[in-house]
Amino acid sequence: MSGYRLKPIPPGDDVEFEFGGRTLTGHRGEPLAAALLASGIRVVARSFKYHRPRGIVGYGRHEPNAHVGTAKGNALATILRVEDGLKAWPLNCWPSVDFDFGALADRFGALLPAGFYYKTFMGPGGRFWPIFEPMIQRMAGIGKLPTDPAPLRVEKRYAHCETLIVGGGIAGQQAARDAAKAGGRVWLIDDGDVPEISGVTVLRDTLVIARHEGGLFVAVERNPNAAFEARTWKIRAARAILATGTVERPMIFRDNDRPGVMLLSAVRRYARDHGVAAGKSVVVFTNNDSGHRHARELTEMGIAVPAVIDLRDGEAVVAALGCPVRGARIAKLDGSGTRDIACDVIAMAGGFTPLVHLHSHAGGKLRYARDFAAFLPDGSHDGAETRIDLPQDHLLARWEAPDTGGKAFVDFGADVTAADVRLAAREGYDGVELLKRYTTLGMAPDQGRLSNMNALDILAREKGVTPDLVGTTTFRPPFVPTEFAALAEPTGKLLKPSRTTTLTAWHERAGAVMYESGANWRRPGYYPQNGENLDAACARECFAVRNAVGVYDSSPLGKFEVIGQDAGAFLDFVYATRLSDLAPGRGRYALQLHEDGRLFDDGIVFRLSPERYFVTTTTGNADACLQRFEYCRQVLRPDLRVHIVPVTEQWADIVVCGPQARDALAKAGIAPPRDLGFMGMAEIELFRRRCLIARAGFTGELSFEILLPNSAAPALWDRMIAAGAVPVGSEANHVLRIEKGFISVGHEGDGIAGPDDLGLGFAVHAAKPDFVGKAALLRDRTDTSPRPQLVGLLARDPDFVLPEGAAILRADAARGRGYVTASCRSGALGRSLAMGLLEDGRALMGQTVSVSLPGGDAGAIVVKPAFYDVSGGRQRV
Amino acid sequence: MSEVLTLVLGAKPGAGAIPVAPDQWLIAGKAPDGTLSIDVSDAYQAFEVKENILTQGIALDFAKLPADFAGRTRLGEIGVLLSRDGDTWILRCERSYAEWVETWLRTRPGGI
Repeated sequence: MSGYRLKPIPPGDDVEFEFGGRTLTGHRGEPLAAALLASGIRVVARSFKYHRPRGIVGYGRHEPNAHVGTAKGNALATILRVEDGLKAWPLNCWPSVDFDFGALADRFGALLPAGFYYKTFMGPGGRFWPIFEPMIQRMAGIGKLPTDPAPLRVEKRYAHCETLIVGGGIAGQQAARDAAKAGGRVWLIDDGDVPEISGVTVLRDTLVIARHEGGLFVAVERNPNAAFEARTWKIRAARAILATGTVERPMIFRDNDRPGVMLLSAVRRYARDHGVAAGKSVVVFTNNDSGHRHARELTEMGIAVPAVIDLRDGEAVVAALGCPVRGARIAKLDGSGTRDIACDVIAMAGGFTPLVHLHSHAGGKLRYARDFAAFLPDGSHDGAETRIDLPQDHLLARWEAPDTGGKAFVDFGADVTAADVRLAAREGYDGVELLKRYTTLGMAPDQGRLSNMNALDILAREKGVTPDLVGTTTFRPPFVPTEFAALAEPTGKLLKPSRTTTLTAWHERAGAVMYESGANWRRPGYYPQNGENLDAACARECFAVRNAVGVYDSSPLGKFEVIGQDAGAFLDFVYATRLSDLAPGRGRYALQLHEDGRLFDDGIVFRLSPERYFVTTTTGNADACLQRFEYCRQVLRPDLRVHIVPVTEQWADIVVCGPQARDALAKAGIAPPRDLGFMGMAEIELFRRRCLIARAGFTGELSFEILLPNSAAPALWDRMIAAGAVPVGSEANHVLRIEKGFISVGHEGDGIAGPDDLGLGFAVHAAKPDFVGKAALLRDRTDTSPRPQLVGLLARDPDFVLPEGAAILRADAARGRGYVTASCRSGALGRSLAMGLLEDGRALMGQTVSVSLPGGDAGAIVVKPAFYDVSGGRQRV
Repeated sequence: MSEVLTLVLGAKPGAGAIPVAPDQWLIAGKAPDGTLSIDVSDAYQAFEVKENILTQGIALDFAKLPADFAGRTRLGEIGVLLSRDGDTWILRCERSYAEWVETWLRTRPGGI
């Protein structure tokens, strides 16, 4: 036994808890670390890399070692509160914390220097890393993912205030009182307990984990109410005061990671706040006045302090003896005068490092304060002022004891020694960011709060410069490791918004396999029947469209009404295609280009009346099209009198397609106007609502597109199904459009291909005075370098479906000359088909190219990109 | 809740109209006489929501909003329309996001 209670637990406040299978007693509400210290449990974890036994070092958030497992995931023993039924266990050890196979790493520590992974596993060729990585992960990994499927219940909330004070210490409380007098909403946040302050909203047990630009703070509150275990706040503050305090700096000496070596401030807090003595006999090792001051406090509380070793006196603790600690070896700085003092705690007091993280998160600069050997905020930043008082303790800027061999740790969490830092500097990794990545210094969950300054000091000495010339690494949110559940919506449906049509419920009832598709839509991919697989269901759906009738939910299609006397002129400007000469009741396939003349989007534009157009865009680009339309209207052509109304959400779009489409419509009681020709649109009344019916579609068959208000869509869909139309998903759609050689912006519109490359020159009316992309298009025509051109591809093996995205190599060229853009198995043609973009592809008709594949290239013949009903007669019937 | 919604093009048609674009206003009810407008009754889904629920997903400073506030904002990752009706707020989302918004509201205690 080592630690003990300075006073007994008041009756009724004692609770039983379990740690690593042992039943122990603690004081209700105290940190687990206090209860473990009081119970004489000294080894609480194994370290990350060397699996050395580790004990509690710090207090609160700044503990590097004592990560413990719980049913809800990992927690810090210094944060986790003791309560009835608490069950926790040590991490990083197998089979137990006292005997751990991984500790072999410590014996062979000389074989694991800084940059070990890079030197050993990641050499040229990199063949070994994939083999070793999972093993290393298992050895090093900190704990296991919780198996409990119920995530942390977290409430999210936004708040606003005029003044936010972070940190409820003396400085923070005073700032809050002052701010309350000045008026406005004042909030005070502290991760512990704070008294009520009149006129101030106080959040207790809440940690600010980030500060962002514009005064946005993110804070996580623990146990805010009965319904939630945590509450994540996003607080926008006009002004902020960061009274975040300091953390004590450790000393560097041999075996300074042994259980029993602690920060003096932590020893003092456990004694003062929880009545727990961390040991029976505490040797203090310091380089400034605070070591003496706090040692006296320990003595006053009844804890024995046999010696305060002060570097300023030319003496140092050169080694911790025993594991856990049972003594300290003392020596003069020249190595003489060695003596051993029996103790069970060595308390390190290396001065105080200000917690400037929040100042730095949003980009605040730091300056080096030589008196305190610390980086301090260089003035206030973006409305946030840091208030941290550092005591004038006459600090000697030295933390390291003379080297007596063994391991002297700089970073306990990441298992980085002083020798590692020196080695990295000698090998040329002597910038702070390089040092961090090479040694993993500061990458442990405590993010180097205890280690960074000591590492910078060693690095500066190696380089022969002062620490301010070395600088610090970047402070990034979050301030402490934070559960994903506190940051993201935890459950499946809310994780990412998904959009449904009014027919989605029908698709799901019909057993459709739903796909996540463009613009957040959830769409049917195919409707398997009687255990069909994808290929079988897709083939059946395609067959129905080619030979009978299919019905397709095209509601996600981008839809706009363009209204006004200059609607035609506006569309002529936005589209490369002329649309001002469309007759009312007619539609035209039209292209939008990027400024650089490449294809941006396509769709069919209908004219309803002289001043009213109905525009369709691709689903994925609907939002981008609206932005572009409005940009053109508001910025480029404010002279045009036109309104652009997005109506994607108003109209459902049901496509009835196939040779029997007209019969199916008749059966469903729908009679399209007799004179409705191909690419025509007319108004009809369905279910007493104004609807639109058009002769258009992407399948190349007789096709009616019915646009109707969303609430009427399920009734029409049911009628079409009752009339025998087969529901068709996006897989079949893909096949049907490849058979026709129709491009799809998502496949062939790759940002490089222009309209001519894609065989769409017919839709560009260059005689118009101006349109977006025209200048670039004209310049392109003077460029003679080869262009990627749309081609059809027939694999030599008709049963082989070329993979989409595969590179196409020309026989005369070793490097890639193009790629497969779309590929499928076609039932109508009884073979595989593909399209691709190939340099000078039109000049290569009939020639063989090879498609590069991992298992060996496949031959394919270049053909025109149209396979089925090449004359287009079927859609015009 | 279902309702008749009209998008009025041009100048603001009166108090309570929600601005959805520099030249477009959403109003509950039929088109006022003499306005250029289109029916968008099927384009939005409306929910009556308490402020205590909205502050869980909307970043606006509600204490500083005017009594007749009506405008576009964000709920989590999606755009929504928000307007005040006495002590309650009307949240309108695009119809395709209604299922997501409803799930979001249902998972806030007291949300629906």
